[in-house]
Amino acid sequence: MATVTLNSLYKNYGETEVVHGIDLEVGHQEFVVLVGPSGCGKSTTLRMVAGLEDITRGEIWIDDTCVNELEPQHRDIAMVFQDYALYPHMSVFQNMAFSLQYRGHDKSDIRRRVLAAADILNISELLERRPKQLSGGQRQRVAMGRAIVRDPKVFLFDEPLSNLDAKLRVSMRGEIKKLHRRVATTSIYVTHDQVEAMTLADRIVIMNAGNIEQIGTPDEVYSKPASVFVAGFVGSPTMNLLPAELTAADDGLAVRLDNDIALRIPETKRQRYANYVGQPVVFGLRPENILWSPNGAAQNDALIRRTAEEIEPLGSDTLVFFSIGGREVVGRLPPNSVRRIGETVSVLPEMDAMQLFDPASGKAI
Amino acid sequence: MASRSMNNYRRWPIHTTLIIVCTLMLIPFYWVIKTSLTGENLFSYPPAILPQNPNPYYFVDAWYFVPFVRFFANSVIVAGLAITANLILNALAGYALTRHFAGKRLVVLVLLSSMMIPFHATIIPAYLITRELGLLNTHLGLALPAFSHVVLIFVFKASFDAVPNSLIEAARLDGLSEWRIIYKIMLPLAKPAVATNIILSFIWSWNDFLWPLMIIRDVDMQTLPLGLSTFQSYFEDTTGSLYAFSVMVLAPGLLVFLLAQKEFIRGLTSGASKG
Repeated sequence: MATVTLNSLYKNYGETEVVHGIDLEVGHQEFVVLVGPSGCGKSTTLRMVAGLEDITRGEIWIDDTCVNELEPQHRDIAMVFQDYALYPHMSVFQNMAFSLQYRGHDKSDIRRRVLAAADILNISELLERRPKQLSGGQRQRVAMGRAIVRDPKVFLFDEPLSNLDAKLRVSMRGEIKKLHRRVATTSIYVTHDQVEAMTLADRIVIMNAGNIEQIGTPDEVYSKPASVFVAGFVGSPTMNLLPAELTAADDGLAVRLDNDIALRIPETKRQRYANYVGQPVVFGLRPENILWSPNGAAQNDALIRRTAEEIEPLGSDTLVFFSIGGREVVGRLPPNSVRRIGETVSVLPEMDAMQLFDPASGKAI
Repeated sequence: MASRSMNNYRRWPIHTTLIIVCTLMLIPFYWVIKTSLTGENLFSYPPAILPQNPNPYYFVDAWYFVPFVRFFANSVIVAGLAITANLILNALAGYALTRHFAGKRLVVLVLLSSMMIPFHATIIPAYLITRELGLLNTHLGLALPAFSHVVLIFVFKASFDAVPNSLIEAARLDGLSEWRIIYKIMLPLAKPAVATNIILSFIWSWNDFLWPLMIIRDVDMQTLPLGLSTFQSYFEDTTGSLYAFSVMVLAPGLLVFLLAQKEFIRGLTSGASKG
């Protein structure tokens, strides 16, 4: 068993508080990704778990042990660094064996563990090389190998793929996922790349300005963002967010986006929003929930007709930008649905997928 | 190929200047070696450019007329102590200066300020302290003031600063103590700084004259520079033997420098450019 628990964790640098009392439980063998923009406190949190940063207030527990006062080497964790942190004066074998030598393992055990880890990571033929003789991807594997040989309770990853080029990043992402399935160790992974977070995580922790905005599965944070921040952070392109007003319609509720656009709220959601009638809200809809409807009946009051202001063909689909109420909206439409800027776009919003947020608190309603 | 010869062609004024400067600097060395083999008077006119009838007689003379081996051994012991102490103390101090601690700026300021005080200004207190410690006329007393040079602390600091912090953190996670981080990670990555420390502490200790002159009473405890002055006082016509003695004093320093010059130059220029 290896669980990690953060209880009201705070971090101050002098007078500045950068982590504002976060709570998190990472389950046994779970892969949790901390994601957020630069400066949100995700790396600081990870470094506090590693013991590389002092904790200002709060507690960190690994299993049944409060590790606040434990030195990094006594926490039974292994960390993969952004810049790999391989010892340049040692061979790959020595890099991987180094920590074991200081933990009292005998030579045969060290050799067995290093060879096993090298086999898992496909780096057996590189064991005699020095780090400078390796490519970025190979170095990353060695860094992971160095963590694996220890067989620690917890793996910590601090943006391990950000130094790799885009193609290698995708393939290493897959490798890390496979590796976690194979060694099944509790892992905390920090990244600013939300695609990396979505593809790797069992659960995602979205952080903003030292707070946790939302904790959930990739599907949850994507389809049910807890706040405007999460909605605007997760997804590429991110969710369309428009100021709107919730109004009472003849037989239900509608959300008014513009003078000529009032979209009916589905029956299933009416009860949830009933208390907000007459109040301003933020309307959110993912680009893929804007459906191309070239033959939509003109009398359908949900049909939106606008002029395409920008087109980004992606091959599998086309991003089409248009305006509603002076705000830019993007729809993910079929390829070649709109060919030229200036063409009229007819779309239908998929209202079952819409989200409403409180403009004051930014939280989902 | 064409562009390389073009480059060489364009560089000829620099090369010519450098050759002339090098020659001018090497002339005294050449003259010392030539005179050590010929015993030719410094004021003889016209001076012989090439050695006339070279022979090793003056080296034999210098070797037997003063306890050269004893002087040499003393110099080696003192230099060995100075090098060891400089490596240990300067590496520790240099590493400490790469860490964050309260009052670091003040410590740096004090260290840098102390570089502006010449040793001659503190030589009397140094003598009194050495006497109080009972180290007058001892190898340890000879080496003690040379145990750490501020400039060499900063050579280590510059080299350690270039080591990424993540390496130190990785070592910490791997279970290394701060001592082992210095020994196993920092020093192997700071070979130029180690070479610089070895060479400079060796040369400064090897060539030191004033401090040994102050604290040494017995001929048996004299180092080579003191021995050189003793030798001068023994003989009237000393030209050949004196120069031979000088060559023997110079040779180990040159040897150490030649062996480590590549790392030494990298050490002196570390931090001067990225990477």
